[in-house]
Amino acid sequence: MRFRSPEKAVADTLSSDPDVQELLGGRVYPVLAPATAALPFATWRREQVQREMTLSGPMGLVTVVMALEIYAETYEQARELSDRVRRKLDGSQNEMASWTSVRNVSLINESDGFVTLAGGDLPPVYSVTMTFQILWGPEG
Amino acid sequence: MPLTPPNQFTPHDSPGTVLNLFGVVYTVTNIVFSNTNPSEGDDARIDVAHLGQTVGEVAARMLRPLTIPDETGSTGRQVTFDYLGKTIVLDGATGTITITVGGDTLVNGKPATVQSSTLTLATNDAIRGQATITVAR
Repeated sequence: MRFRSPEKAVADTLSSDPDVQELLGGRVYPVLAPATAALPFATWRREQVQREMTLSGPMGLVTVVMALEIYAETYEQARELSDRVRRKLDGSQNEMASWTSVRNVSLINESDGFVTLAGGDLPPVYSVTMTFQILWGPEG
Repeated sequence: MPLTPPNQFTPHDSPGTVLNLFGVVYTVTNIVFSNTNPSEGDDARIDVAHLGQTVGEVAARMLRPLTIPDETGSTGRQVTFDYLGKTIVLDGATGTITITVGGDTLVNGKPATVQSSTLTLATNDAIRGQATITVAR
């Protein structure tokens, strides 16, 4: 991957966290999960990217709003997983990956849902959508 | 083979070289120049209306014979700028200011005094500051 991706760094952090991994395994996917993915799983996508502009041009300070969607068979499992994710990510800062300096991660919204996944014959699943704001920039 | 960290900057990214205050370069997002001739203020003229004037005529006024010193030290010229970063601009500090935008130097090494400054540290945002500088005429 040749581009920097703070949201990918955050997702990688989740995949490597023992508490999250216990329930989620490594099933964290960008935008779309494969139809064969077992439950529970999570997807992440960028909802908004705002680059700070100065009078001398862009300075590389970026705010990314990332949606992390967690899908599980039961509501309790989805909530348990989202709680572990919150404990890991909310308020985290400093460098979280060698490529990206994540300066600040905040959980700004959380909502529940009940959805039918496309591409399979599975029954509807519970979902929790967590919205994070990630501030990152040239300084580590 | 280890992967090379790609550059996160766009080709136009720069650290900001627009405003230099007391030898410190600030990453500026906004600059406002304010020029106000202090000799044109209300206090600079006195009312010399007299009974020889006709009804409806504009009251006569004239410049004061002596210059009134500005107790605030204002020169009538101010620069207010917003910046990113955690540098605190100390009020009352003095030095020189240089402002260059797009290759044009608008202020070049003028003596300057910090009139006021604020630094805002907020959650979910970069650290932002604002300073108002009195610039010599």
